Amino acid sequence: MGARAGWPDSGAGWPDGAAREDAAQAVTALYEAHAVGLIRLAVVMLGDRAAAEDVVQEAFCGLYRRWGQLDEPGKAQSYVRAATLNGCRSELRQRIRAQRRGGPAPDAADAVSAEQAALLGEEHQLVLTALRRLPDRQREALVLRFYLDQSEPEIAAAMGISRGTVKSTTSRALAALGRLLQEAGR
Amino acid sequence: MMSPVMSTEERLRAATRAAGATVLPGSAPPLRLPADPAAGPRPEGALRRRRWLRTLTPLAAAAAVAAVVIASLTLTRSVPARPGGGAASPAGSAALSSVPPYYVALTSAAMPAQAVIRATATGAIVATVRPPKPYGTFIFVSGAADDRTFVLAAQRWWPITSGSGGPDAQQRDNTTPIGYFRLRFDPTVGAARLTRLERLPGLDSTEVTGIGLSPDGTRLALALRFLTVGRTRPGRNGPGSPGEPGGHGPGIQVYTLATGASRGWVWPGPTPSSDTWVGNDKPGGQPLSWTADGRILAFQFWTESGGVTQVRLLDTTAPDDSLRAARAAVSFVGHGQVKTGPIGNSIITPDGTKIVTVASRTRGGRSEVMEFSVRTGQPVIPPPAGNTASLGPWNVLWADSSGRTLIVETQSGPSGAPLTGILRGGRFTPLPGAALQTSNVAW
Repeated sequence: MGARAGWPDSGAGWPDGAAREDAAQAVTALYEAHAVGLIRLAVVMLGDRAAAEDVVQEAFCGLYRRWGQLDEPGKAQSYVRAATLNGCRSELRQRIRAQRRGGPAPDAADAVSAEQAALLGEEHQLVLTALRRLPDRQREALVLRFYLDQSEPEIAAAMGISRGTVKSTTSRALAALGRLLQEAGR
Repeated sequence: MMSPVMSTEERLRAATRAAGATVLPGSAPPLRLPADPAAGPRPEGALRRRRWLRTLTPLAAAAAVAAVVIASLTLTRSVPARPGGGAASPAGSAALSSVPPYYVALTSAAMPAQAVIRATATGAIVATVRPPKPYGTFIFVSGAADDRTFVLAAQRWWPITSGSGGPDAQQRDNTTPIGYFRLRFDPTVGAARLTRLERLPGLDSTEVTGIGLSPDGTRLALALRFLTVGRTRPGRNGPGSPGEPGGHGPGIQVYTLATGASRGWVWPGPTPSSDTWVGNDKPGGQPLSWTADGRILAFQFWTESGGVTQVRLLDTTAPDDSLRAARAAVSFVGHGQVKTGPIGNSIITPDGTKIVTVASRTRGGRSEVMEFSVRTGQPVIPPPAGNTASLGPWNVLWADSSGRTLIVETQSGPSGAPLTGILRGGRFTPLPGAALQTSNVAW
């Protein structure tokens, strides 16, 4: 992404004054349009509404910081979606690290909030728990395919992998998920 | 339970969509862009964790409450207070950004108590609200998750000059019922609205030991000294009545603000009521707290004769009407290393995983912030919010969803006066402005 024409460079291409205000307005408008959908996506990935909100907030803050470097504002939505997925991945890895350290962070990598546990039935919770035990790439492929209903080319673009890899990853992920569900007695 | 013939794909699709559907349209929190966008990403853990914001009720539903709107004559705009302490350090800024931006405090420096809405980060006064006549003072406040909706309990003022209690207590008119009001405010214009909640019961103040507004702002829990669940009315003259079928004793009543419908739970049985309390021993304490889903109500419970203090968890959706059915999440006496009961409030974190309180690990030991796992009842060591060696925590006033960020009151500020601040990562960040000097405060 190169610096956008007409914006004075400040540091890492950050605009000043009125341009900064415009950027804030544009990012805020995008947030208002897409925040709920992205929080939903993050909730599916994380099982924790607050962590999901944090991840989405940070994704939009990242967009704001990089706004002056965007060649095409139309790509902003793709950026925040990718940033949200990255944020979810980081959050889950932090949970696993914390669990391995035996620290006070969430009890398990698949920890869900009390709210989520209350709102979702046992069956859904079982499936989501199994989903969150899959490797990052498999989990994301399944969420993009079966939650967002994205096509293989869209998933390939979002994940930065080939269509063939999407197909094989999705297939393996479904098989792994089925095994986990079977092990759970369903 | 889903059909056993569903494929893995179908089960996955149903589960993910159900999870996504828990996020309601319009429920995203406001976007908070960095003040200095060139400063780079925020450090890990510096994100706001207001987990209890998520179950905010649509305003339209809450607006259906049948009540009288009190005119704005009860509202006074105040000059913003000067933030104390100058510019915050980066760590202090992160701490300040991790707590709700506003709180409502009942002032005790000048009785009768007014309700003062303040900005947490600066101490600036957004508005000051006086109790509408005939009420003379506010006695309880509790907040919803949206940080804009609060419920205040008001009492009449009866100036007298003698009595057995303290001056403030003597002048409260305990012979007339409490009035309840919902306070909503818009910090952008400094407007506040006080609405009478007429459908709540007119209990005397001596019967109520605490209030707790549900996170969505639709229900109010009252901790009561005496409650009868069943056919008879509660006795007003003390604890002499034995427990009877249906239940009479200390209890909790949860009211739906819109309709006045209520459910009650009572601690019945042979335990003498005079020895058994739902609440704590602090005037203006906050003995009740909710999980973010509005389902579990944590309450402090103690029996003087048994010397046991517990934090119990009441499932407000369960059919039982006995507080005995509420699970004891933490028992303080004889429990592991913890030999003494909690000081002041005990708060369940909105995610339902921990109980946060101030206690000492050994009898007579130094008080410190402690967090207990709801699952095991054991202390989480070290506590997620950390602790401080230099300050003696006195009370926990607020906890974020997972207990990593707390607002605590200490009794050992630089001047020796009470000091309120944020405890996060083992660092105490005083809230700008003076010590609260309040009788009751809610975020």
